[in-house]
Amino acid sequence: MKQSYGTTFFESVLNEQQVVPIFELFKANTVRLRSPFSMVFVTIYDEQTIDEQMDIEKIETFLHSKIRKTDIIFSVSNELTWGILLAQGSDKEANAFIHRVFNDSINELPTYISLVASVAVIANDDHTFEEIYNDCVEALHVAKQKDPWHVQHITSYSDKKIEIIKVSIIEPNKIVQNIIKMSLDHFKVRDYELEIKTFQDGYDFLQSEWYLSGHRHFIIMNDILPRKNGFEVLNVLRSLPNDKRFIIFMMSMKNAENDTIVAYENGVDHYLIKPFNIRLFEAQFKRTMERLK
Amino acid sequence: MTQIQIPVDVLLIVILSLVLILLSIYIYLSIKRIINNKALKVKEAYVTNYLADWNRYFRGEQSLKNEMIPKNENEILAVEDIFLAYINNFANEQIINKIKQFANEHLQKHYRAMLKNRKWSIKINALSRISDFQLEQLLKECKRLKDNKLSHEEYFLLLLIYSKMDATYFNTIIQSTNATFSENEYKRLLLELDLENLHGLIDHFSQLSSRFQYALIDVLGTKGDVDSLSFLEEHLGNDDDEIRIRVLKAINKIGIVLNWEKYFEFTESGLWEERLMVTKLFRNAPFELVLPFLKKLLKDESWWVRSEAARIIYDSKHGEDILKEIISVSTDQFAIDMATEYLNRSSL
Repeated sequence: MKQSYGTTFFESVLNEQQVVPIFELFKANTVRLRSPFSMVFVTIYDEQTIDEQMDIEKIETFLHSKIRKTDIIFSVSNELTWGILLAQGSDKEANAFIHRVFNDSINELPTYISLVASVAVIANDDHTFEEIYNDCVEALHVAKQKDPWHVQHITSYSDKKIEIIKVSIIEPNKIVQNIIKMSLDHFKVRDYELEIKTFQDGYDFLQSEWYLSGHRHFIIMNDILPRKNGFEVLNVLRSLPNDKRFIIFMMSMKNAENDTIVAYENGVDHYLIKPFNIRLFEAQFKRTMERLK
Repeated sequence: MTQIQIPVDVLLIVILSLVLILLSIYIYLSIKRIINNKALKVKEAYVTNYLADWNRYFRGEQSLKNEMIPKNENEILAVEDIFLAYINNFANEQIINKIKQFANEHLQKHYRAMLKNRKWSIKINALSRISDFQLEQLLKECKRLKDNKLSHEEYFLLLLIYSKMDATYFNTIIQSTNATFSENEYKRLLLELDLENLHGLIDHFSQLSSRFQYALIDVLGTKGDVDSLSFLEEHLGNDDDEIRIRVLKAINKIGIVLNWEKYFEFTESGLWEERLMVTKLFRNAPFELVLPFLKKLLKDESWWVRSEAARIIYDSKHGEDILKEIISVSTDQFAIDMATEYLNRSSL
């Protein structure tokens, strides 16, 4: 028996109509989770060489053994072609998948079968199944006119939508507020835009409805604040549903190990002991933003 | 009943005088408010106009512009606010040096004049800023000042200036002075010293006041000074309870113990603070070595000691199993309750 990556949710190969609702689900998740998926088309380079019925079954079984439980295989009508929806399908993952399929096919499929593929990474919800499908079929024809094992990439669907990320600076000293704001103002991270607001104290912040939206939200706050202090704000934010959207930096003068531990145990993501190097803070902030991708 | 009769013209004069006094106070306060508002506006305008320039200057992205040099007292106050915001929140060596260089070059005249002022509050402000911005140009002047009649606050700030800018001089003065400070003040002074100068004070430990001794031990711990371990261990047997407790706390902060056996006797101490500190210290020890002591400390009469012992056991690799075993075999209700409390925490 061939090595399998697990049994797929759909044991058999679906047809185009059946796969459309699943495609729509993947597309919706891509926007919500900001994680792209891929559509990969695989076909036989030289159809003349194969014994249709037997080889088609072999190829389908082979492809089934290469996908994850969350991936879907579907047939492409009137062609000896298979489409695969890769749920976790960034550029790297799609390439790794195709590489694995091509490499393993040398040992696991008859030697007279060689394959070509086209791949589209989908990172937004602006396009229909039909558009992407047609592009993949067209790209596959281009691939077939080149060499066996050729992969044709389609890049027109991989642009992510610009995501607004909220940033709240909660700090009583206006100069300190402005220094942090200036630091963040010249931040440029692809696919993201920062919307920065400053607050004098925890009460003002909690009274605003600014933090109630579903945006990802960086909070940079002092532990000691007039009216509601940093820990009170922290507790309110961490008790909200979907509190993971908040990435919380707490600034403090307290440098005892125990204070740091208490802050982390209460849900702080980064604890900055004052005075801290602003460049170090910027590097941490940038790295955290990059990890959101 | 007798009635006091005041002539109308006298009454009028009194009323008029009162009105005049009130009017003068009102005018004085109004003028003062206008002046203050104007000063505040100048200060705010400076911050608005030049904070971004200062930020770029501190980041090494632009050089110092002439316009950034403050032209009047209110602008100096604005520069002070900016500098203090950086020093207290975002300092690094580069920023501190730039502030120091600027203050020595452009602000020393201002602070020199303030030092000569008769008003106590103005002198205190000058000393604070000389210390904050490390105005070495005024160090000589500050050294001369120590022989004047000074308030406690002034003298403390002078010593803070010495500790920041001339540690050797500070060490000489602090050992010869009759003035005493609070423990917190001693700590603030000592935190500015490097290890070499702190070790200089260790050599005269027995001649220092108790508060000074406590502060010195705490600072050695805060600085994580491994080289002071042998000095600290020497004082594990000190007659002063507080010194022994502070020493245990400092060693715990440093986090290194060479010979654990020296510490086991503290589990039997009559002072719960000592038992607590040694329990905390056991977190750094090989677990199997201290487990018998932790089990014993779990029965301690002090809640703090029991809780700390339970926490260390709980955080160990097989902590939950050990606590379960304690619950099933122990006859001590304190130990059973604490072990149960920690196991319940894990199920939350």
